[in-house]
Amino acid sequence: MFKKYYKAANDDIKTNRELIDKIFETAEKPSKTVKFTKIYKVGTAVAAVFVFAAGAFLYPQIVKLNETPTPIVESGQVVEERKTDLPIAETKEKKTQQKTTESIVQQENPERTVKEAVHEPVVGAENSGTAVVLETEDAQPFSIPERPSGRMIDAPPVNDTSEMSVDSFKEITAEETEKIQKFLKMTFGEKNEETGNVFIFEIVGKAENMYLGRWKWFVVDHNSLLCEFVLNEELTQMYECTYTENNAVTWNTQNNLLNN
Amino acid sequence: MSENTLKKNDKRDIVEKYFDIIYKLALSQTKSRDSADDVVQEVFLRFLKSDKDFESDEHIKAWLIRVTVNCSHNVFSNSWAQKTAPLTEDIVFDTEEKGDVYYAVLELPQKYRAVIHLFYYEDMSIEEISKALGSNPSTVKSQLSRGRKMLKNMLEGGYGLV
Repeated sequence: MFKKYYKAANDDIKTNRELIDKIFETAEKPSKTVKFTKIYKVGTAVAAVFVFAAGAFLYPQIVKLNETPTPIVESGQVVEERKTDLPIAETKEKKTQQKTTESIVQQENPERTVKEAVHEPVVGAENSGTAVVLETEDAQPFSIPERPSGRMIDAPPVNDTSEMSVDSFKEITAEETEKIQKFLKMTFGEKNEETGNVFIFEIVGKAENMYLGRWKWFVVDHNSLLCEFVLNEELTQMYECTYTENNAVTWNTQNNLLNN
Repeated sequence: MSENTLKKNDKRDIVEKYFDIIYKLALSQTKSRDSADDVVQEVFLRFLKSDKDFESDEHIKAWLIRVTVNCSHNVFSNSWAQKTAPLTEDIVFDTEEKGDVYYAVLELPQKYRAVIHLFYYEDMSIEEISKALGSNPSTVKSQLSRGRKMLKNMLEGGYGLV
């Protein structure tokens, strides 16, 4: 009985057959989704090209930013690099040397072992084409006093290392900068006697009781970094320093550059 | 049916053939003529745009039934439908018995309505219903049993053989 009544009830329900034509009309209309799909594809391609172009354009600048220590960049104190009126030193025409520590040691003093060689101070240069030369008794191409061990090769003993936070970094006056630069030029000379490259002493600011600076020289048409240094207020202690990731500076107190 | 795509005329025949079945199933699911119209349109538009390779008429029917039940669920899941009460008063029958039985089925939970409708109106077996709905036969059997029990209570034992 239930089945009979339920079937009869459903049979009584009239359906709207006109809906069938409407369905076919709707189905035959061009779908807007298809148009949007094309737009999405084109849009995605354009966006991809834009992102790629932006990446290619910004990559060198990002690399440059990453290579520069943060406190110095933010301080805006890289004054000397902007100088255009610096006298260009005459440079002797000779082939640029690019020797490894090991090969130089073997050539000039075959008796020395490789183990000894890696403890030799190494002067790094930022730009290719600048000589990387090992100082020996026979040849002294660069007159910077002997410096602590190469930072990537041999870490200094823990007890001789000082560290200073640069959170309290502050700028110094032009007069103060000029005074320090004058002192450093008197101490180390205006230029390197061997190469004739003019020294540049950048004083980027002061943290705690130490000045922070950069020692560069001018090679042909660009500045090349020799080392970063800290200098005390009394101008009696000067050390090569390294910037650490936690916004601090470390240096080896055994090698006062002013004593050499 | 073995061809990948049905011709336009074939599709029209299929739509006309299954239109009533799908409409009545949709109506039993949504309890509203307007919603049933929407569901039917959606189901057949999906069918017309589908590139599915149907094996047989039964396959088409099962596919349409499953899509209808799913679309009917979607009607109730959208926020607008949840805030509006379906209108059931516009379905009028010539005898009281038909009305009693039909509205008793509409009172059932949605999952039981589909099974009861397909079993009693479409004369589908439990196996066919389970294939069409993509459910386990034992689940369908259980839902059918519970639906019957609820109908008996609602109809107070009347219209026997439920």
